[in-house]
Amino acid sequence: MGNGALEFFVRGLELEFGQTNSLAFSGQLKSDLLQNNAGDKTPIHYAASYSADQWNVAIDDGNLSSGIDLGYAELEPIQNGNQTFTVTMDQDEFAVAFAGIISMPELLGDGFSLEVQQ
Amino acid sequence: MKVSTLANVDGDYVTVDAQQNLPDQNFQLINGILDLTSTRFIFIFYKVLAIQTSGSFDFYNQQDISSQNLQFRSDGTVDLDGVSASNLLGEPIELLSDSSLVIDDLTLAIENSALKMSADGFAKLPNPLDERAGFTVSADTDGNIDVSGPNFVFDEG
Repeated sequence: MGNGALEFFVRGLELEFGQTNSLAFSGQLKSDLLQNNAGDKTPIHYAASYSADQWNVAIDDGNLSSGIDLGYAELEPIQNGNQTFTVTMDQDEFAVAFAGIISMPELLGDGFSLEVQQ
Repeated sequence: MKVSTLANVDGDYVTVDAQQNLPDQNFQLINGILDLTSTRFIFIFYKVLAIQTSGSFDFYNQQDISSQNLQFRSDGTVDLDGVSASNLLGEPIELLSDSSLVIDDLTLAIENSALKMSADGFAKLPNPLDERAGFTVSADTDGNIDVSGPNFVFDEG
C-alpha cells in the first residue's frame, strides 16, 4: 500500500425522509503521514451532507490551529483565499487538499520553512 | 498537499508539491557551523516527509563542499544517498595545509531529539616530531562543542 493512506471514520449519521430527503454524517479523516513520533494521528474533522443531488463537505479545522505534529516536522495549514481546505468528493475520489508551511525546527532550526501548495 | 483515497502515479495517497521556481536557499545548521546553500524539494518517503537538499555547504570556512541528496526526514533521520548517518564528505578536507589538520568524516544524526554533528579527523605534527593522532569534534544545535583528542604519544627516548 502506498504512503499516506486515508482512513475514513464516521462518527454520526443523520437521515431525513420526507418531501426532501437528505443524508448527513460527520467524522474524522486520518492519514498515516499526519502522525507524530508516538504514532498519534492528527484527525481532520469533517461534516458531510447530501441534498439536492450534491454533496457538501465542510472541514472543521479548530484542532489544527496550532499546526500538525509530524514528528520532527511541523505542518501549519494556511488559508487559500477564504478557506483552508478544499474538498473533492465524487464517485471516484474523496480528497482533502490544503496549502501549508512546513518547518523542521529541531533539525533545521527556526529560520527554515517551506511552503507547500494545494 | 493533497490527501486522497486515490493513489497518485507514485502509488502514494498523499501528494506534496513545494512552491516552484524558488531561488537557491541558504540556511544554517548546528549553530552556524554548517552553512548550506542549496536547492531543495520535498516528498513523501515511506510515510514520512522528507526535505532533500542538494548544493554545497561551508564547514568552518571551507567553501564549496558538495552535498548531493541530503535528506532531513520528519521521523528524525538524516540520510545521504540512501544511507543514514553516512559521511557527508566525498573526500577529506584539509583545514590546515600539509595535512596538518584534516577532517575525513563528517556525519549528521539525531541525538536526544536534536541534530548533532560529528567530525572525525587527524592532526599531524611536522618533522622531527612526525606524529599523527586522531580527534573527534561534536557539536549540537545549541552550539555546544565537544572535542576529544588529538592525543599524541611521544617516545621519551
